[in-house]
This record gives sequence, structure tokens and C-alpha cells, in this order.
Amino acid sequence: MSELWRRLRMLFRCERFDRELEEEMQSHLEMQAEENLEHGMAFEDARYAARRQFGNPMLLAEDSRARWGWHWLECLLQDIGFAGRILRRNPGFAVVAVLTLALGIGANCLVFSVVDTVLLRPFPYRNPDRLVFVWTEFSAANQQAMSSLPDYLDWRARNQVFEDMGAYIPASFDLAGPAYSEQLHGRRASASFFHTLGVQPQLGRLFLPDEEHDGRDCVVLISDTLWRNRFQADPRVVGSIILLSRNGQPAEPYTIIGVLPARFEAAFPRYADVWGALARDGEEAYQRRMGGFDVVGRLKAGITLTQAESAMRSIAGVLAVQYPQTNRGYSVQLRDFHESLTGYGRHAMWSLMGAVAFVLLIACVNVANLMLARAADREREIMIRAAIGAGRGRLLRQLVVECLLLSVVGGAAGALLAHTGVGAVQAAMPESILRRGEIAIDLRVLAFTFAVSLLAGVAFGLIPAARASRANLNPAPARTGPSRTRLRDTLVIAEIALGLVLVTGAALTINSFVRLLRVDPGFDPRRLLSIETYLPREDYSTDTARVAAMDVLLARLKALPGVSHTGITDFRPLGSSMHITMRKRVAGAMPLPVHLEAIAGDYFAAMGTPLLRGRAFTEHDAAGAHEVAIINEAAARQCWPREDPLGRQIMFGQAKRGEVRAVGAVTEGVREIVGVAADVRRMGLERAAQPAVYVPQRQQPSTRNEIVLRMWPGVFAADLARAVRAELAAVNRKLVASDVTTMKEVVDRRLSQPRFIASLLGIFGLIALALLITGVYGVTAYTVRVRTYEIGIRMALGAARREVLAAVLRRGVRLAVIGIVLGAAGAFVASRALISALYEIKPADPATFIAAALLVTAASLLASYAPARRATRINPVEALRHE
Amino acid sequence: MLSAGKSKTEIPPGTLEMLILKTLKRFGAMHGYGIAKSIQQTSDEVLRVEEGSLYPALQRILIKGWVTAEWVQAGSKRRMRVYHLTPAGRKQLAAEISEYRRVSQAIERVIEPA
Repeated sequence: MSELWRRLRMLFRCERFDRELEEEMQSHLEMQAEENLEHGMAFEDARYAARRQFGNPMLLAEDSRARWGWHWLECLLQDIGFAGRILRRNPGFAVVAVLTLALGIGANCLVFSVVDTVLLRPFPYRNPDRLVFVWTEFSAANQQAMSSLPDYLDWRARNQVFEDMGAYIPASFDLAGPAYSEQLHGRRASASFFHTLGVQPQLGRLFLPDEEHDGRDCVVLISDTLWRNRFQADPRVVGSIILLSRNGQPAEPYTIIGVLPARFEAAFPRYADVWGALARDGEEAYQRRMGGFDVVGRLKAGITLTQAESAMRSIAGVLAVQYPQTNRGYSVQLRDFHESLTGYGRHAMWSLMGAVAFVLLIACVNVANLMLARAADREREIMIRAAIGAGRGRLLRQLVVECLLLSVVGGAAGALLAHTGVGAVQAAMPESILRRGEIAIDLRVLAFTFAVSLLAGVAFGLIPAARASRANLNPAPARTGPSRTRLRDTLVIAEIALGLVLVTGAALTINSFVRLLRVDPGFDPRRLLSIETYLPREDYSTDTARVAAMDVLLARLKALPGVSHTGITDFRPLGSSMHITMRKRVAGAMPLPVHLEAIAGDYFAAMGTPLLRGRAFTEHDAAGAHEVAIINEAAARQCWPREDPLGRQIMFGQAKRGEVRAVGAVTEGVREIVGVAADVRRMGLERAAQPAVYVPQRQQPSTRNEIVLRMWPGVFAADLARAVRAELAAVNRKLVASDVTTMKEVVDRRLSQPRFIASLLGIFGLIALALLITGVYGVTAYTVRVRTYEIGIRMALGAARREVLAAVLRRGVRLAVIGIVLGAAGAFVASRALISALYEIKPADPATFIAAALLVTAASLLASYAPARRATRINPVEALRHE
Repeated sequence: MLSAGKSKTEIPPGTLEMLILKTLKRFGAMHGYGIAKSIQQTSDEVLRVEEGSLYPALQRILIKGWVTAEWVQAGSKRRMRVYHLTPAGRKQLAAEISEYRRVSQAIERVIEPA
């Protein structure tokens, strides 16, 4: 302990120590000189003798100092200082190396900050690793479905594996103002929901169990965003009363009981302004058929997900026996919470991480090449240092310190670069990715960046350094020696191979994205406005009233200037959807799960979905008339592969639970097919259309509707939306245009994830190409410089310029070919990681591989062409005189 | 440095510290030059202390806490650093001497003609 203290004191009193040691040695010398003088030597001789006897005072001082154990630190500081001076003296090299590294490390820093924030960090809930999502399973298809409220209540009451469970469902809330209503994003959650997550409000309180009952459920929690934007962050808002209309019902006074924390908004899927309390409405049997609920559970300590799942499945088995009408064929699946919230784009994120690792490798190879070239130039310096007594270890350390200095400076520049790129990446990220707003270059990311920088420094520095430090005192230049050339060639090959892997991956992803862009969704998203609205139940309680309201609406909207076609549907494509099972009306026909849409107006014309055969619905397809249906091609193919479906009859089975928000009664009975419509990709652009059936709203009216308006060119969607709102209000003040959007926006949102990945991979591919070109250029230029003498001799002996050019290029081609072969093999293996992100293109797509290989070959030849040209301009006389 | 015919022997490695401690114990506080001279004289000019190893050795035992050092004024313009043995140094000296005895006796036994 006291020894350490003495050592530390020494570290800080270093100068005084040096002075004292010098003084002590000086007095030693003087005493020795005096004694020599006494022995009768001449004054000068006595001094010199004393000095000779004493030895090298500098070395001695260093040796004494070394005893204190801080030698290494001083050496390191010395080395860093020296490395700094060396780099300053060679600014061109330093700038190129630092920039190269900054690109490579910056890309890693940026992508890591994304991956860390979005994927790795635990969510801000209490013990988030014990949270799970509980799904209803449609066992026949092994599909997840939303759960029903009675099922959730039974699960919660009967299970032994969860500490608690909670459920929530999307709900539409309109904030009633004096002149207009404002649509809010809403949910309704069970009282246990926030307790299960472990989320505390920043103000006020959570729901009480008592508030789950009808009549006492007029309480809401509001989001931090709503609190700040609408209530100016006034803490007195808790306890105040607002007028809300839920799912189109008349406005009622709701009490704000609390404000949720800001962090919760970013960490939970699909933003909601308002969370209402969940009370049961409607009778039990009806409710058990209706899905729509998400259920979360908190596992008891020590219970694994698998154990909990098997326990829950046996509960589901009991329920299936108890309620065969609704629950037979359904079970339960458990899903990891963290994985569910981050699952979207997980693979794509990791492939980005892989891509930037390649960028960094290429950057390292580039800098290693630069170092090699420079090491050859520095041979003289290193020889001199070895000659005056620097050991190999010391030389090696000096070179490694230089590399680390470069990489740390490069890393700092890279972190800065990444910091400026965060905003752009956030803006380009799909909205569905949670916590994207929290991405920042924080301490964790900086620590990662620092580690990556050190690793990179060792990676690009060690081989050249080891080589340089082996310098012997033989002054014959060894720079053109075979082993040195071979090492440089290897690096060029590695660079081309790595570049090709990355370029191939980027090309595959971009290719896939382009294919996705070209997908025909089955409707024309341009100039198509979609407006969600609810018919209030109390004003439109009968089917007749609903049909009448729809007719009025359609007529008024169609008359609006700028509107060419108007249609209505209960579930539009790329939104939520309704599943049902359909059968041919033939004995023993297999039930087929289909999407169901109840439509009105010129729906197909408005959507731009071609009607392939038969007719559209007319006003004669009304209640009481012959019941009719239109099916899509997929349904026609499956049910009547070789026959004409027109005139055939179908029957609907029980409604399957899908993502249902609100649904009228589902008609059961026989329908005749009157038309076949083109397939619509309603579940996503990348998913082939599934069988679908359209029925006329006149025969099956819905309270929740989406109005689709096809606009004339030159009409602004916002202007039209305003006009539509006015029309709705003119029909009934309670009609609210909620969720107004153009279908172009809807399609773009669907494309945002693949666009994000494709553009980032594209950028990384470009960076890789740029690095590859500079790298190959650098090496070829260096080789030409080293071979100036040799080329001079060749030309003096009569070699033509063309031959010189060919000789330099031939070497480039040879390296490129080897690199391309290795790179293609690497890409073949690596591109499998992209498989889940690729649409309609195989990871080993030959055309893409060939295109990428050609691009990289062209880039590397281009890079060696310029130095090769320079080689042909070598003047033999000057080249030979120079040596 | 007056090469006075008689061959001087390098001090065996590891024993210099013991000799310094012993010298300080025998003659009391002393400066570096004095320590070197006194080892030389006491050993009848057989052992020669290299300055190159003396000062690093002194630093080492200073770190270990076996000696302390203080500056004393010698004459009008010269200061000298004088080293004192500490109790820890005394203990260390005893340990080193007994260890040295043990080893040298062992060596004796090995090289003693049978």
C-alpha cells in the first residue's frame, strides 16, 4: 500500500525527482573527481576519469527512474508524441487514412447506435424479460389471432403461471369541441394492463379494478404528447373532465385520471393519445366470438415461457370443451415480449450490421495497404533507429502506437460523422420501429466505437508493423521483394472480394425493392383518398337507416368537385381486415378462409380494381333481394379451377377471429356469385392475394366504414378532405372523418422498411466501391512508382508503351479475377442472411451476381488504369538518372 | 578507474542490495558515493560497485521502504543525499543474510571435494 503511494507520489513529482537524481550524481562525480585529484591527477583528467568511470549518466538516470515502475507510461506518451509528429509530417497520408477509417468506423457507430437502441436495449418496463404476449391460436392453420374478452378473463382467472395479465383493444375516441370534433388515437385497456407492464403514470393514477364496469368506465389516461400539445403540460389536467365520443357513440364526459410517461409512448406499438378503461359491453356469447384484443402477461418468477405456454394450452383445452361453439379449434400461443416488439425488421437490422462490418474491413485493408507502402518508405528511418539501439519490441510498439493513434482519431471523426447522420437515419426509418426517436450517439455507442477503433487499429496495423520492425541493418532496399509484393497483392484481392460481397448484398436488396415497387397491388393508389367514419348507433339503429345514410353520403360526396368515383367499404386493403370461412354450396365442400368486404357505391371503379367478369353490385342488390357476392381471382382459382364461377352458390361459415375493430352481424346463408374481381394485395405488397369475397352493403350494412374517393388529377387531397368533413357534418354533426389518408401514403408506409434497408445498403455499397477504387488505385500507383526504374530499363530496351500499359493492367486483371471469384463465393454464403428481407428474388440470383461482379471488376480496372497510363509516360532517361 | 593491476570482481546479481543495507547498518547514514567506496574498501578492493547499478539499486530499496533518504548540506555549495536504514530494512537485511548463508553453504557443500 505505502509502496504504491510512494510510486504515485513519484509519478506526480517526476521533475523534482529528475533534478534530485541529477544533483546526487553530480555530487558523486565531484567527490570522485576530488579523490582523483588527491591521487595527483591533473584537474581536467580527474574530471574526465570520474566521468568515464561513472558511465552514461542519461542511461543511468533512465534506469533509476525505471525502478519506480512508470517507465511504460512515459514510453507510451513518448510514442504517442512521436507518432503525432510523424503523422503531421506526412499530412496527405494521415488525412487519407483518417478519412477512410472515419467512414468505416462511422458507419459502424451509426448502425450500432440504431441496433443498440432499437433492438438490444431492454424496454422500460419492470423486469421486461418476464413479459409475454398471449395470442389466440387458430390451430388448424397454426395462425395467431386476436383474443376475445371473455377468453382473456377466463385465462386470467384460471392460470397459475402469470403474476398478472392485461388486455387492450384499439378504440376510436373523438374529442368533442365547441365547433368540431377531433379524432384521437385511442385504446381501451383492462385495469390490470399497466400494472402488468409495470408502467407508472407521471401524474395522477392508473385505472382501478372497479372502473372495469359499465357506467364507471368514463375515465381516461392521456399520453404525454396529448398532454403537452393540447393541455400545455398543465398538471391540473388530472381530475378535469373532457367530452369524448367513443366509436361514434354520443359524446360523454370523461375524467382524466392520469398522464402516462413519455418513455412509454416510444416503447409501445402504435401510438395512442387516450387510454380508456375497458368495460364489457354486449352479451357474453357475442363477445366470445369477437376477437380484437391483445393480451400481455407477466410470468411468475421461475416460470419459463414454455412451461407457461403448456399450462395456458390446457386451460384453452378446457374452454374449448366448455364453449365448443366459439372455442373449438382454438388454443393459445405465447410470444416473447421483447422479440415481438423488436421483431419487425430484426433481420434487416442485423444485415445492416453485417454490411458495415464489411465496410470497416475494406477500410482496414485500405489503410493496411497505405501503411505497407509507407513502411517501405520509412525503412531508412527505422534502420537508423534500430542502429542506435532501439529494440525490435520498441520499434514494433512505436508502429502499433502510430496505428492506434490513427484509428482513434479516425474513430473520433467517425463518431462525429455518425452523430450528424442520426437525424437522417431516424427520418428514413419506418414509423413502426419502436424507440427510433431515442437513437443517439451515447456513451454505450461511444464505448463500442472506441473498441471497434482499437480493433481496427490492430487489424490494419499489425501486419505492416511486424514487417517493418523486422528491418535489418542491411541497407539494400527490399521493397520489391517477392514476399512484400505478395502481401500487397493479397490485400488487393481481399479488398475486391470484400467489396463484391457488399455490393452483391446491396444489389440484391435494391433489386428486391424495385420489384416490390413494381408490384401491382390490385388497385391504383394514385389520387385515391380514404376516410374512416362511424355511423353513430343511436342515430342509425336499423339497417334501413344505415343504408339511407350511406346513399345520402355517396350522392353528396360524388357531387363534390374533383371527385370522379366514390365507394364505401367496411375494410379497405392494407388496413385491418375481416376473416370468414366460405364454402361452395356443394355437399362435402371444404371450408376456405377468405377476407370479407361489404362494399357500396362505385367501389371497384374508385379503387381502380378491374372487374374481370360478371357485373358490379347495383342498387337492386338490396335487402330482401336475391343475395349476391363478387369473389376475387384467388377465390375463383381455388374453388372453381376449371369452371366459370358466375352463377355458382357459396355459403359463409362462422366468422373467424381476425383483426376486427367493429363489425355488424355476419350474414349466414346462400349467395350467388355475380362477378369476379382482380386480386388485391390487401395484407401487404409482398404477400400474394388471398381469396376474398365482396358482398353489397345494402344487404349487410356496417356502422364502421371507409369512404374511398378517386380524385381528378390536380386535386389536393387536403382540400378534398376538408370538403368531405363539411359534407359529413352537413349530413349529421356526429359524423366524424377519422383517419383521413391517401392510399399512396398507405402504400408508402408499407414500403418504408424495405426502402430504408435498400437505401442504407445502397449507401454502404457505394462507400465500399469508393474505398475499393481508392485502395486499388493507391496500390497500383505505388507499384508503378516502385517499378519506375525497371520500367525505365524496359522502355530503354525498346518496350512499347502499349506493352507497359498491358503489363500493369494484366496484373490488375489477375488480382481482380481472383478477388471476384473469392468474393462471389463469399456473397453466395453471406446473401443467405438477407433471405427474409428479399422479395421475389433468390439470394443467389445469377443476374444480380453477374451485374455486381461486372461493376466491381470495372471499378477495380478503372482504378488501375490511371496509374498504368502514368507508367507509359515514364521517361527512361529520367528514370535511370534518378536511381 | 585507476586500473591498479588487481582484478576487481563484479558483484553477483541480487547481492548488491544486501551489501548496501549491511554497509548502512555498519556505518550508519551514508551517501551513494560513500556506500560505493566503503563496499570497495571493506572488501579489500575485490568488489567493485558499478555506479550504473548502484543508483537504480538505491531507488529500488527506497521504493521498498527499506531505506529513507534526506538531503544534507555539505560545505557551502554542495548538497548530498544521505540514506538511512529503516526498521523494515533491518529486517530485510537479516532475512537476506540468512538466505545468503543458506545458499552459500549449500554451494560450499556441492563444490567441496568429496
